Amino acid sequence: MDRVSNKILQHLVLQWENVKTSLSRMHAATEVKPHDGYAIFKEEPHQPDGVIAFGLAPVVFRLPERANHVHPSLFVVVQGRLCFDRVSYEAGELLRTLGFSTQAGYFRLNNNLKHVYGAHFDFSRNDLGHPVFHAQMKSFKELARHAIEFYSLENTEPDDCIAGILKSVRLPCAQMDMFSLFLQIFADHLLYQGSGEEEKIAFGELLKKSCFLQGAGFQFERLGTPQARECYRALHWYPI
Amino acid sequence: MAIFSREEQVDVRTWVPRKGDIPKSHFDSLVDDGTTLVITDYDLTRQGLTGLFGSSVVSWCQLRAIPIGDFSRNNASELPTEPNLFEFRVPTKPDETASFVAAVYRGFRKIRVALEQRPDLVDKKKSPAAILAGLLNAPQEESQFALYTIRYGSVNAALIDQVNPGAQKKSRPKKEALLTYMVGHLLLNSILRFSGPIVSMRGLAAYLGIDDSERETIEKEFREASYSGPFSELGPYFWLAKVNDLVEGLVKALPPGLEVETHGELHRRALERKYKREFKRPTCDRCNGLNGGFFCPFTRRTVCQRSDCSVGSNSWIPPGARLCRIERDFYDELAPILGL
Repeated sequence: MDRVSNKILQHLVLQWENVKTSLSRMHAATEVKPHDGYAIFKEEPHQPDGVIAFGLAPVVFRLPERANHVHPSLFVVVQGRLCFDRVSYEAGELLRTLGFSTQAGYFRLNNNLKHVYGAHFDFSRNDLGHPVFHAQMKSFKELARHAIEFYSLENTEPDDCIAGILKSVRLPCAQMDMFSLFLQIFADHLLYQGSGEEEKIAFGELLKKSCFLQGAGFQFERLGTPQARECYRALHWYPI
Repeated sequence: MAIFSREEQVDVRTWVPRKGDIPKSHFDSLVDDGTTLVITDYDLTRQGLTGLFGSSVVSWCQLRAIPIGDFSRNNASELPTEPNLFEFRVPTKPDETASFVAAVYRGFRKIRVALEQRPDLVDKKKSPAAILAGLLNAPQEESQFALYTIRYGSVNAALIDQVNPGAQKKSRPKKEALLTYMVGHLLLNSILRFSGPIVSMRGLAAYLGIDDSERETIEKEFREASYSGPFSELGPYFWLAKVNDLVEGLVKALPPGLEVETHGELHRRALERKYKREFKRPTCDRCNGLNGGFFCPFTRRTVCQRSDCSVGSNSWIPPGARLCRIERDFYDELAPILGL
């Protein structure tokens, strides 16, 4: 850790606090563990010059499947990493993404735990056939152990409902770094047409506070052209 | 030594229960809507009135949403050992008792007066966290304070009756009194106790990776970050966001290539560079005080993130207390007993 990575860690911990606040305001029955931001964000040493990287140790959200459901039967385990541009931060405290990867495993608890969704979100600079930001569905059954540990669930092997899913499909998507994924989780499971003002405000606040981090799009000229900005079709996503 | 000034005009009502007193009626005759604070001993039977203990007075106060403090030299073991948001212990050391009571009284008065003078806080803010952030002129901290505000109903069931929609509409003074009670305890028993957006002197020393015997230097260096709101007399306390701004200035002076393991060490190095001397490190036989960075609110010692030093998330620590961790030895010894 040096003076810059220490400051970036403060940003991450503070944003994690914001995530927890919005979560508690959006649904009474939701929870996330662990709480401690300093324990979940760990700097990854030995990075190339100009790169500062932090890993996210597994965090587990407990939520209802739909915002109007009462029972929080869904466990979402998220882990990942984020790489930041040291130079831009040193020059003007602009925290921007150089790279990221995020893994999410969804588990439904009825009588037993079922692995119902899993995806890996990634980023590719110039790999042939890879969209810039993409998701690949795959089984993350092994992440169930974190839900079992943090929520003292019965320690049984979860049923894997997505075993064998085709892993080679790279679905173009937004920059789904860990903080973007938290927003998606909240939007999917804690918001619905009937959401009240308080829930909408809590989500809106988190959305606004997410601006602490700039995405990696600046690295791609092809995404910044006027045609791309007004189009968003697949032709802009792949390197030629 | 006088603990209240002449201008404060504090009305102190005392009661030594005696044989023949009708306890509840007598208590009710002493308190009213203007009562700011009640302090009770545990054993109230000494003068012949049997069956009355401090816990009854605590319950009556909680029912009426009056702040209540426990004071007992001889029956400390009878006082609640688990955290209770709406109750606090008064220190029994003679030189601390009076000043503590006065500070708590002034803190609650300060909040009540602010709520009287700023109706916008009562009318427009939608949560105790929002009211507190407004009252302290720190709107940016609202979301942090919100992480301390949980389960009001489960820690004082009487509050449910107070805010029950079927209950009679609250008069303005009653609403202000109820909000003073909630916001005051949130601040005193949770935010100021568990280091997060506001840190105590010991919490700050831990964050800086130095021993709290360096308090003179800390106070001088972080004067701009001083917290001066309600209950500040119990401090000193500091705003963490302002501390971070000041720390950043110190850290910038460190050699660019310097790498350390923890933020505690980084902060200490920055202070040592400015003051051109070594600072005393926190006492720790695990890392020799090298790391620090966090504070255990139960052992009141500096800890670090090493797994043999402390554990993080815990049901006894509010989610907003980001500088608090529980010292490993204490945790291992008492976790099974206290339900940690």
